[in-house]
Amino acid sequence: MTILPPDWHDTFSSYNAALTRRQFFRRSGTGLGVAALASLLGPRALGADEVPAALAEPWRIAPKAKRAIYISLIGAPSQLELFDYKPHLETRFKEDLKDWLKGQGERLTGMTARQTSFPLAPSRFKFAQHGKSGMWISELLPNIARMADDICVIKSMQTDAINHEPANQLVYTGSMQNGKASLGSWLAYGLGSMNRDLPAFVVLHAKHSSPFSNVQAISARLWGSGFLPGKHAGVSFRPSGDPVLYLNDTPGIPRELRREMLDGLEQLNRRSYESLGDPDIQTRTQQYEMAFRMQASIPELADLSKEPDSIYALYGEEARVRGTFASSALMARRLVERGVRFVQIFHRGWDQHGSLPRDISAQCKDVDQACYALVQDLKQRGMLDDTLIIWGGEFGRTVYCQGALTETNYGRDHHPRCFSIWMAGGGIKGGTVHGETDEMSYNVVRDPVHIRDLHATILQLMGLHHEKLAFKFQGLDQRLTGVLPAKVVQGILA
Amino acid sequence: MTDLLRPSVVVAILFFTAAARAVPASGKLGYNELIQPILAENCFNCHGPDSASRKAKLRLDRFEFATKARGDGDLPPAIVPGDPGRSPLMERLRTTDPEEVMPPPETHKRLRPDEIALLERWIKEGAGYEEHWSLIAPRAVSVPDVPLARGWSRNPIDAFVVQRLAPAGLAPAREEMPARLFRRAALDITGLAPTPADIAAFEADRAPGAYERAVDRMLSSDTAAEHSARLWLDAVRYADTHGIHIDNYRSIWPYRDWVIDAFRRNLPFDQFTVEQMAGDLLPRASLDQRVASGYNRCLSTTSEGGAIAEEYEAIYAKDRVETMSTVWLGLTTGCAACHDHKFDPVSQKDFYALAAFFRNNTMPAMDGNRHDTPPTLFVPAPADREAWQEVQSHIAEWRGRIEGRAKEAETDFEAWLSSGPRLMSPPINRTVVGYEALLGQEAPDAPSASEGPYGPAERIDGRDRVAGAAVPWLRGMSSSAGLFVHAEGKANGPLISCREEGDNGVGWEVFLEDGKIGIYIADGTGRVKVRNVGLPLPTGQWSHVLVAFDTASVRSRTVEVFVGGKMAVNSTVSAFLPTDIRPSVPVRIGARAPAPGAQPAMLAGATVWGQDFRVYSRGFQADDLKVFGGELEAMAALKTASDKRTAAQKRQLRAHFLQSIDLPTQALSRELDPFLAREDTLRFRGGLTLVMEEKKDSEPFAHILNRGEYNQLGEKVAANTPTVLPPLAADLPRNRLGLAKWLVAPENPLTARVTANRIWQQFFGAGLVESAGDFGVTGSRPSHPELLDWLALRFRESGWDQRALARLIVTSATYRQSAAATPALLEKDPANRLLARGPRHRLDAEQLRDQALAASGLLVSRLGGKPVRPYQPEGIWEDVAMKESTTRFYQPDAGESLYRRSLYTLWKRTAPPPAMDILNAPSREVSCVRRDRTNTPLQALVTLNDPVFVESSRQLAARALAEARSIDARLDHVTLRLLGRKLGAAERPVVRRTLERALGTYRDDPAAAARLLTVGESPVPAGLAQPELAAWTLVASQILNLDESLTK
Repeated sequence: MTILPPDWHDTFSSYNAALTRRQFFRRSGTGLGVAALASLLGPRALGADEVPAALAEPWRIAPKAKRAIYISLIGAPSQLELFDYKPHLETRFKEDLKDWLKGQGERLTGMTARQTSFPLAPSRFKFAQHGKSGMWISELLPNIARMADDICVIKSMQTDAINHEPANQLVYTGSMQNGKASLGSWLAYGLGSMNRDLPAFVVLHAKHSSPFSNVQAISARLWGSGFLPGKHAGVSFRPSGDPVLYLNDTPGIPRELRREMLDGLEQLNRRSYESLGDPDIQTRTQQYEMAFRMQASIPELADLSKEPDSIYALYGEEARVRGTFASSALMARRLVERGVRFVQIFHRGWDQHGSLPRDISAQCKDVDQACYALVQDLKQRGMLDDTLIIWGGEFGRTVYCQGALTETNYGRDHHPRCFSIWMAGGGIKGGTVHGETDEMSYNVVRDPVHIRDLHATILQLMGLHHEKLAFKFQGLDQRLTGVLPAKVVQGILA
Repeated sequence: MTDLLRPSVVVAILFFTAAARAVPASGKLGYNELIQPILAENCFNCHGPDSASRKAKLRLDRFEFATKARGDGDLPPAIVPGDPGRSPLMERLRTTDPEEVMPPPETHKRLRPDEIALLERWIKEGAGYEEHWSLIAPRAVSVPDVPLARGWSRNPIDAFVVQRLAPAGLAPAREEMPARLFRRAALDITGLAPTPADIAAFEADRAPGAYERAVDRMLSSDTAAEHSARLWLDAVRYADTHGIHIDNYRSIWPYRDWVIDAFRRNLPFDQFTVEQMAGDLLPRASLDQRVASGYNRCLSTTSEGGAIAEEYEAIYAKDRVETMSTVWLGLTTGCAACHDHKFDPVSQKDFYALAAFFRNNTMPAMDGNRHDTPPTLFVPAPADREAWQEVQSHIAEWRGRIEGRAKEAETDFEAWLSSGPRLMSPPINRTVVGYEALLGQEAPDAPSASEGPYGPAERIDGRDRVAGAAVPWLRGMSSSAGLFVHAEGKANGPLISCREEGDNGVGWEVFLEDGKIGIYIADGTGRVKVRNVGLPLPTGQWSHVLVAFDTASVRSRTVEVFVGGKMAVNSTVSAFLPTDIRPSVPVRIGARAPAPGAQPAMLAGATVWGQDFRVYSRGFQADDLKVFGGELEAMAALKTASDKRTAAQKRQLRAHFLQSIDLPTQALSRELDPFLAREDTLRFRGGLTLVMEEKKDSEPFAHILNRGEYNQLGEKVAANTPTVLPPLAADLPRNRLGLAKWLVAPENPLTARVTANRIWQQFFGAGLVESAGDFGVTGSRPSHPELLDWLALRFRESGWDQRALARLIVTSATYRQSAAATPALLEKDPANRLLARGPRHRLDAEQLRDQALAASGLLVSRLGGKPVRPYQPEGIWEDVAMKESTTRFYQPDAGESLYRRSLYTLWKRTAPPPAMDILNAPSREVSCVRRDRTNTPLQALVTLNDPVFVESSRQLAARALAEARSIDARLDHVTLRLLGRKLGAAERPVVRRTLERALGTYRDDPAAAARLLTVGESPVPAGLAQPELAAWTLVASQILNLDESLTK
């Protein structure tokens, strides 16, 4: 059978609405095609004003989570400073790893390849055990540490890329090449929307406070739709100006007048439709109506001022300042509360080649309390069970120092072979640590998790079979997880 | 992929394919039409051309493999021609045993019974294979003689179309109403709606052939060239930034202008191909041909710190092969970068043989984040070509004379040397716009340190020394200021200052902090506030300090302070400063403009002398700065006893003598100077462009990269074309020039088809082959194979005349049909693949913006030039850009640049113009030969609220009010420009009602009217009542947002 795209009913219902409303086509004239589709669709969606239930696409499986929030830390936070505790390295301060590295066969980036020595840099931050599992978490993340029982830390993440651009593309689109579809657009494509007035996939750009670190660029390709239809691309909610581009009506156009203008527009478009019969005309009118509704729903959504003081106590006072990470986290909660399927928060500034201790401290301060708050807030609303949270960067960092190493200062280069992320919420077994790295936090020694595996797992939790979720492009069944084998990480599932 | 056609696609698959690909009741089944699609979909993934993933050593894509005995010859072939019963293939398709059934259950693929039956019949008929249709050279076909076509047909296209309509029970639609047809053709040809004058001329022409004449006028217009160029720029992924990582500005717009000009000249497509692919390799390549080779430089590049050069060289070669394959061959060869192609007969070796063509050039792997990554070429503006040549010859002439004088001046030089010489300040030339000699008292007790290059210097610490008028830093200009400085110790305070005191003061300053050089820049709005401290100023010696601000065409970089010719500190603010720096105070030496009533801050903490302060109207590069070092060396040389001077010292003295002392040289320099000034002007109007250049000392080659990984080198292969296609002729060079000529060689089965198909797509919204970039096995089949072949041959035989092909298409009866759809038609052919009606779809992003500007009269129709920055919401660039990027801050231009056609908008790959992006413009990161066309609420918000659409509505309203009196006449003014027609009687009341409501609103609330009218930079015409203008603005916006306006 031909696989119907999951959004086909939207267009179909507009087509159908046109039929019933205008009686332009006599029922008998609609023929077998429409009738066949109507029977596939079932009575509920026909003419219904709610979002129709998604079809039983071949890729749908029972979901553990209805929605997800991905906290993307751009620049690659150091696993050695946050979750991958290596206490014995303290005694090996400044040990030159040059010879040891030769045995590793790993490529080095252009930034450290010419270093004459590779001094071992132990983390200068303290770690302590937290929660029932006794997982080790750094003092840089005191609030995240408080919810150790809610989160699952994966210490054995692996990637193929050694530089930011390709690495970010791999994490967020499943491929180091341009032109692929982003994780969020796959979710929007595979699952559809849960809210008529909001996009299924929303991207938030949080300001970062560290002014020093190397701030990596990001681009729309990380939340684009690639070969998927353009409407599945992430919609950026912006930290300044209109929250959605061009959302606010031009100054001097009151709402009633806009309504009047759109009513006239609808009438004229209807006349065009009557003479031309192009179903797209009706779809367009409906999109103008949706735009009108978004103009009402989004400002309400974006207005955080009505949140009670208790919420600001939880997220921190900086949540009152638009564009901060804390306010983005709060906004993420409001978005998923209203049925947005996938929210991605981008927080840049984690690329600490030098002055790592100073910069990572500032970056952690940006996110620590708000991440805790987000998880607790979802929990108190009964939403944590079916909301998946993912927190992480694009690769790890080297155990050896980049640049000059002193007792208090050091930097770390890119390291693709291991890094740490955490997940929480829907379907995730909280209070667990998955995977282990060697004594240098250089290689994974137990339970490696490739980016593909992470993707397969996220898809499964969201109710999508990663091998079946496919889109035909250039003759191939394109998948988020690509062609190499990917496995769902069973060990982290609740 | 087009959402527009979404419901149609569904129905099409269910109902249309059966009608279109009817299984003949008798006669043989066509392999390409009916069998290959089934095998490709279900079998080729494991049993196709890719040897690496092939299962059970079985290959089903070619007769000789599929019918060969397997194993050691003891197993029957998978297919026994003529005998499906003995063909294991049939058995494996039919079995229910999960271990046996094909395709295996884990592929989630399953053949339908009718498909299995087709395969059975095909085997029975002998299992005849055919080469994939697009790889067979187009066949000369005769135009069908179809009865229905005789009355309707206008050219052969129509006969081919009717031939397909009749069996489907369809008939052509009536011809579109002239006004609508004319608007459609204008939008398709020129990208713009016709002007009322165009419409009037068209309607006034009553003679037969009026439409054809109008089409010819449009096809030869500059606007048509711009529109065609814009479509081509999508295909070649043209943009104005590098694309990867820092994503800095790159200067390659002269290539874009070349494309426009090529369409203006209707350059034949074969030549168009050769000049772009290999213009640099043509014998005696002209300037234009070398500019055209910039095609090869349009790709995304990087200079990321950790990037590995070999990796990116592999990525670039792959990108170039993929783009060339998509655009010319319609093949998705990129798949073969990692493994043999799964479906098409393109092996991994073929891929790297193609890659080799692009791996023998001098472009560095790392772009250096420069706007002028070599190799580059300076291109004068088209109007300046002659003037440029002329000025160059004058410059050469005067330089020659100056050199001649230098040779003759030796005696005078020696005489000067023996006369107890002193250095003299160099003459003031055209670039010096401010000058202070800073000569101190020649006091007998002055310390020797105070002796500067040109005599006793002035103390500059501890005093408030005004040295000239304010020096603003404005976008698009260059400015520098410098002087010689001698400090005894580590001073603190302003050195060269042109800023207002206070935290919010505007201006710039070079200061000393503990003896170190610092730079301060503030724009007064808080957006730019920089204070950086860099290297120390040497003490106890003279050195030259210069601050250079340069955003002119030649360079893009930060503000830099040079000490002794070396960069001591820079601003790290992008060269495209987001705001101009306009200080209101004069420039000072050693002091800062004081706050009212206060004492100025002054240089302190050490004794500091300065000399020869100059402000220049130009930027400087490290090379230019040698001249100041030379002066200091000459100063040292003079202090050296004449018999101890080195040759180098003598050379410096001679240079100084000629420049500053020798009157004949100075007289000649004064003659040269105006030509240099003229050259500066011409240089500013022209631009640098990236070009391609072949390595001269090596032959193109590449290594096969295992799994496509740059460091997994396999076999070394020479440049060559894919084996499945006709070979590269023996007399063609094995380089890009050979490749280009092979692309357009008559034997090539693909290029003419792929190109004709893309031109067809420009007019019908979809190609005859819908997957315009994929003519391979898994691409779509042509809806009208004979028509495609006929067009391809006609195109090639016409001398690759793109304009003639466009004319043929637009003047066909097929194109001229009404777009109205009846229920029966929608049911039978929802996607209009059979062409029983005219094309209708939403306009492209650029067309929508350009149309609004044109209708309002705001559009500035000037061809070419540097990219422009029209309105864009704040933060689009900043949200994603790196701190050091030259495309971090977006500051809209002013004036005309706001209203140019959209193809001139500066295209930043990592953050494309947002309204264009929302309306499905590609990011230009990869080749795009077919745009997505969605229909979303965000698009509605753009055309409702983007300031350019609001401003266009206002200007359109203002013109309607000024030029017509009655409501109806004013409405006609608006709708003629947007819809190309007047509203019908039933439509007018709807708009009138909106108008009346709006008038009511704005008369009650004039302040709201005033607010609406402030949108946009263009002035609100005087003399119009604001409430009325506001109400008409709303009406114009309503018309502009009609589906009919947004659609062709």
